[in-house]
Amino acid sequence: MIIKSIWRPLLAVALLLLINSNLQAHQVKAALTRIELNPRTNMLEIMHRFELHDAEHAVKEIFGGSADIIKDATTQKQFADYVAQRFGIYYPNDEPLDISLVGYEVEGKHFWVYQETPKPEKLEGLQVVHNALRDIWFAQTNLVNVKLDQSINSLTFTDNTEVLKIDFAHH
Amino acid sequence: MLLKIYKLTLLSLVATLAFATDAAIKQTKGQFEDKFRQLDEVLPTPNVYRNAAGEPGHMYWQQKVDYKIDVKLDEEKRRLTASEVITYTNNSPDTLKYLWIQLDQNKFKDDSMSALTTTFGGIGNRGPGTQSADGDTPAKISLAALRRQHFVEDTELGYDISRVETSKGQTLKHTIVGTLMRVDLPQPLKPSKSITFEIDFAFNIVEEDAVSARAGYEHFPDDEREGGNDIFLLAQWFPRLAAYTDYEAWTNKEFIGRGEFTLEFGDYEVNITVPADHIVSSTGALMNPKDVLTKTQRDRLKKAEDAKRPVFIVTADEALENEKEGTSKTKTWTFKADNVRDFAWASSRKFMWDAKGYNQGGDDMPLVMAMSFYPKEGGDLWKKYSTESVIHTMEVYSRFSFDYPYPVAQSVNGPVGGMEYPMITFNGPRTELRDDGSRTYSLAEKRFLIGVVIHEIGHIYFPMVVNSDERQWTWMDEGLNSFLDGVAGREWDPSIPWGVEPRDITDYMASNVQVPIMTQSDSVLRLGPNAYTKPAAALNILRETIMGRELFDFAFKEYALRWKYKRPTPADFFRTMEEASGIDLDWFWRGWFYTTDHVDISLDEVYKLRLDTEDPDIDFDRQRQMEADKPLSLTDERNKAEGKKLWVERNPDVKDFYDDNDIYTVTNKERNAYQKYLKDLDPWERTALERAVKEDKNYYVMSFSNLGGLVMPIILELTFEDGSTDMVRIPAEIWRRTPDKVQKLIVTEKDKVLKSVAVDPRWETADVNVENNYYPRRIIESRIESYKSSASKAKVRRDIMHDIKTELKTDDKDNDDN
Repeated sequence: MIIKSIWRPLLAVALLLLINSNLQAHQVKAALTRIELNPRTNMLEIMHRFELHDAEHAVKEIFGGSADIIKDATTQKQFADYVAQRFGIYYPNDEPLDISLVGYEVEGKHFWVYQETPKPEKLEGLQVVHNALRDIWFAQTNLVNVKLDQSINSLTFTDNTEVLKIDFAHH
Repeated sequence: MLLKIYKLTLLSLVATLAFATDAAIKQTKGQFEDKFRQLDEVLPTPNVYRNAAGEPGHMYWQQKVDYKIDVKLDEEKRRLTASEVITYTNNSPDTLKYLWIQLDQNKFKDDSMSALTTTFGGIGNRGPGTQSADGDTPAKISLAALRRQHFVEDTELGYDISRVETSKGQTLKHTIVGTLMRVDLPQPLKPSKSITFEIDFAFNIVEEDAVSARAGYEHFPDDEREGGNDIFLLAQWFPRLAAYTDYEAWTNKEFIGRGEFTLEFGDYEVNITVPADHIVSSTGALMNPKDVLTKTQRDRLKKAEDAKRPVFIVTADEALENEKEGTSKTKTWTFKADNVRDFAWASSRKFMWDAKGYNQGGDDMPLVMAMSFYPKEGGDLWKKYSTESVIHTMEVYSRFSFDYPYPVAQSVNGPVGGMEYPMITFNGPRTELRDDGSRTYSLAEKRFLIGVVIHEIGHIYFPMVVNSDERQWTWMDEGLNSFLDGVAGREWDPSIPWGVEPRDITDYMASNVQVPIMTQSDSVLRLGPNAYTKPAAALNILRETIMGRELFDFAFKEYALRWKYKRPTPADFFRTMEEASGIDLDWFWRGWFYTTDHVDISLDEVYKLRLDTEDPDIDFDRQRQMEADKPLSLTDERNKAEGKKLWVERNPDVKDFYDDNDIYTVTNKERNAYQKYLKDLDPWERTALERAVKEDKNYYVMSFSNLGGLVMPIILELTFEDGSTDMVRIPAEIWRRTPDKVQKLIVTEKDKVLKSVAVDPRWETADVNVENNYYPRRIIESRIESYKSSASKAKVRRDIMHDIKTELKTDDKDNDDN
């Protein structure tokens, strides 16, 4: 006879991508950022996606043990600001683009932070810096997918990488 | 902030395919790329060990290695001393002159290859961080890295091998090569012969938190006992045989830390001597409970076999009490395990221990004891969920494979986050101690515990029993297990977003920093998405979209049964899934596993066609109508607006035949031609024409482009003007002749006029760009656009100050109020 257990329905908010069994940490320590041009608004849209479980641990480390990214709006704002401060796009002459924070939200198993900036003259040659979570965890890897028309140019921020240039290979 | 700019070349991607590519075939004319080319040329040749069906061949062999080990744990010195007797049976057709033994503890020696090749601030490091200097920023070394440095300096690590002899006492020459040891045999070992030999060894146990390993001790200084207490997790703790396989012979690659283990099955009998007040959890069944457990504990275990909820064998209070003192006495626990590929154990006086029987029935193992061992730091979190998660995992995974084959399934809390061994797993989540003395945990920590227990116990099926080669192919156990733990998670609580959806992998697949899944583990740069997420998503798609659950589940179970207690390779998995389901999957394996293509199918155009009846009385009128439906000439429209009068309007008395009969006028000449046409038709042609004219269906031609390279089925949702919808699933084979562009004719009933078409409306195919999936094109709001528009509908817009004055309606008032 197979014993079946019955579970109370649980409040949903979201979750962890269970990925590593063999690696040390249970957190994924990988974030994704999409940079895309919106032709309707003529803005460069920046969307940062963090695994909620990573973010949950991060805010406790950065802002203290009582930080709660799922339920506390203050913590969410703090985290969004933290991310915005560690992300930047610069012209070839090092002048920074003026990026504004649009908002943030929890969706499913992710925490999103949204930014945008007016479309620059051209994307190629721009420099990107993305240090979110890399200052507290050396293992953190941030993948940035820059979309120009149909092609995607990916930048991987890991280990000692400080700055990367957007560079589309021409066919 | 000063920025130091330097050009960083993206790490070059070395996609080392293990098998020969089809470079022998070269398509030099035209552009055709055969996405459906059969995979035979790429997969290894079937042979008597692994046949073309993907099952073990009729001469399949694998070695067997049995161990009898006596081990003693010195708690004060944190040292293990042991003696093992190894019986190696050579079932291969080859004669072996030497055996290779893995000495994994040697990885921690300060002159090991792992230690010497650990770059400062390097890539792919497990463990505490370092960061090299760059321009304006000084080099950084974290406190954790310093701690590791100090630990390694203070403690001598690695194996002390004091004796290697045959059972008759003859010394065996042995040569240590880093984390490996070659033992030269006195006589070459012929096929089907065995040899028994003995090794005495000892080593200092690493402090897991300091060096970041898969096992070790964790110290708790604040326990009441003077000097505190430790939890000891022991794995990779005995010299064990490297695997000798039909496809690689000796798998004797140095253990650098990342690539994992390839092991042989065998029987173990292990005597573990620990302080008398320790509780031991181990691979295997406990053979001498009367010597190490009290009568109360034995009774509780018996009760747990049929209990509805876990029963404490050692309660929280008893564990707490146990933490307080120590003892100089020892006890020896004897465990026996048959047909396992590894052996791990844990020991501590801090453990509380709960158990619940899983009565799965059947002939293999009708009763499995699910058990959890954890210190007070695990708290309510572990009490409620650990053992139940263990059982849930077995319930789900067994449906996809086989009955859980071992007598126990255990979850042990210690310093390791998540790791699996036969019958025992180490899992990390803990509660937090609050100032008021209570222990609490977050929602995410709870989800994490359930998830990691499911995942680690799941690994007992893959790869502990279906013994894939973890060093070569991480995805074969991690990908399969990630897919299954998603299934198990959804059956725990579907409101939690478990599992891997196709949409979770689109960003990785669209990026240009990836390598194919079929790349040797040590060469893969981003192991997470490559070995876990992408294969898991691919299997989900195979199950839900390509094959359907019935065929997939049947084939997957066939794979698990064929390779239970055996050693499968990727080709065996690919072949089995095809052969058992009857569906050609070569295109799927090739696209998803051998390339870095992504999915982007675009619906470019939809044309509507209508059948000509050939009858001039009908067709000419239709043509007249089509002409009339065309937009009015701008010139004519403006002339009218200006009030210009046409010549024919001013001179109505001058008329002729053509003023009353337009070009669409039907004469008997056309009618006679029509009749002749009908007479000349063969009877079948006439029948077909008459029927088609009568039905007057709608003919739509749709053209699709494959922009991403990865061919997938085309799933269409047709929406009609009358509001109804219809789904059409076109198999991927439609792309076989023209993998870049394809056209499809869809015919609908006369009253079903197409209004719009959507490709893959439910996001099943991992299409990275859904904007080109709709016809007519829809404006797909960007994520930020929809965030902005939904934010405005947020609750903040309610005028609550006003609304709050609303009176609550009750039954009697309902009739009076409005």
